[in-house]
Amino acid sequence: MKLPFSIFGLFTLVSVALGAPKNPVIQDRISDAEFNARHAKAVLPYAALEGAGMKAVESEKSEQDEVADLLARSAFLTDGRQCTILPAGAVIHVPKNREDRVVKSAPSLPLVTWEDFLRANASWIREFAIDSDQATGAKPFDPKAAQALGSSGSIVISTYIRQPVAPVAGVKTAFAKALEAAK
Amino acid sequence: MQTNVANNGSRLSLLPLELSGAQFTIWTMKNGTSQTPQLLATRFVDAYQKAATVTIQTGDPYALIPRTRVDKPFTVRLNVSGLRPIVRGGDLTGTSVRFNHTASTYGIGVHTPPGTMTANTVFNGTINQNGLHTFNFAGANISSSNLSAASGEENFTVSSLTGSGALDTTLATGRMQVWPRSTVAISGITANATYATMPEVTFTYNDLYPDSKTYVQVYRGPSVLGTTGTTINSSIIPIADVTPQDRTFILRNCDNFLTDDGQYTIEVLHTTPWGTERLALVMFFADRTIEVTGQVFSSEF
Repeated sequence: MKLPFSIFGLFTLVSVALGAPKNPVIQDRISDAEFNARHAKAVLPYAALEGAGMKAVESEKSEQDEVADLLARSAFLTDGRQCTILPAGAVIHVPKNREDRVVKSAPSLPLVTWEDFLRANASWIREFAIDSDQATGAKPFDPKAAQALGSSGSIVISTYIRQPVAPVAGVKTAFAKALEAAK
Repeated sequence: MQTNVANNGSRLSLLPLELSGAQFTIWTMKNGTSQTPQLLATRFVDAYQKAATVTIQTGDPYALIPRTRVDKPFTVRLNVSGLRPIVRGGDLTGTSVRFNHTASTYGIGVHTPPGTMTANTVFNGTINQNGLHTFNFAGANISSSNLSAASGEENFTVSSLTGSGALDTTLATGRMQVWPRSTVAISGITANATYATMPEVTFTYNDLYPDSKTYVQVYRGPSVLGTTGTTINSSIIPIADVTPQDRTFILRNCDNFLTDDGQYTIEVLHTTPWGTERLALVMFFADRTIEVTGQVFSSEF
């Protein structure tokens, strides 16, 4: 016959009941000095991180860094009265006589949208329309189109859906080679 | 790609979303002499649905907000899911989340977050493994020249990262309040002095824990930790609050506790979710024997 609980278990229960203290365990409040000493010795649980898939970050990217990044990635087109900002990589071709129209730092001129700037300066800006595959270099562009644009004497800006887009660097190189080949 | 956006409204992305993700940033530039761009918002979007939870476990079961005492241990558990595995030489996008742990100190005697509060970074790192990450702390991490009396809070944040590693969306947060250690000052009685009647004794409490019971007990004999004495019922101070509390108790007319002459001990006991602590004690002597000094005259008539 099985008992609902063992003799040992019963003995344990009785022992606990008999031996139970009248008071809960009371401890003395440790002194502030002792507390400070213990606190100083405490080790953060982040000590061994690599094994847990964790890694401390050395420095944080600040908003100033983000601004610097944006300016580094950008260029400004100017006609002397107004300017517009666009990805630096979108500037595919600049004829010698138009080099002053492309600047790296923001000129002290009114900033207008790409569409407005293009409309006002359509005589010396040409769009080099590419699709997303051409932008990533996955698909080559037609060199004849590049030659036609490059020989127009205009600044050539690569666009995707009429918006300036910076393709991979190889596109600009291929564009220059196509122009060279046409000479 | 750069494109102009209207002052308000919404529009579809011009480019399709790449598997490795795409970062969208909105900038504004002021016309005129100063054309430094200002970043308005940034958001990284990728095909992986990252998620995280932050769970803080302290010794106090208070449900509204995790809270602890500055000297007590606690545990933080982060559960992260949706991270892509890291492939050697592969794209790191979506392979980690950022974990940030900060601690802010309110100031001595201040129990609400001040308007301007400095958040000191305890840890700032990345996690690149899905699953449960458990961190056991020996005590709070706030900083103060008087740490025992300091209040503050600790915050734990898990955020997703952009493709360039910058912070993006907050996935989970956890906040824990830290309360100081309680103190009591006993005045009106001198340790080991002898009294014919019980003097008026003042107990001045600071920072009684928001879930606590504090009381005074008296017993005959020298101090022995754990002794059950006679509880002064009027001294019992129950606290069930959201912040630490200061109180004062004055012990008066308690001669009836002094049953015999001899040594006595007064103790202040403080019970919190972590157990009972003896905050302070004072021993004294009672001597109520009336000694009459006189002369016996004898006369014979």
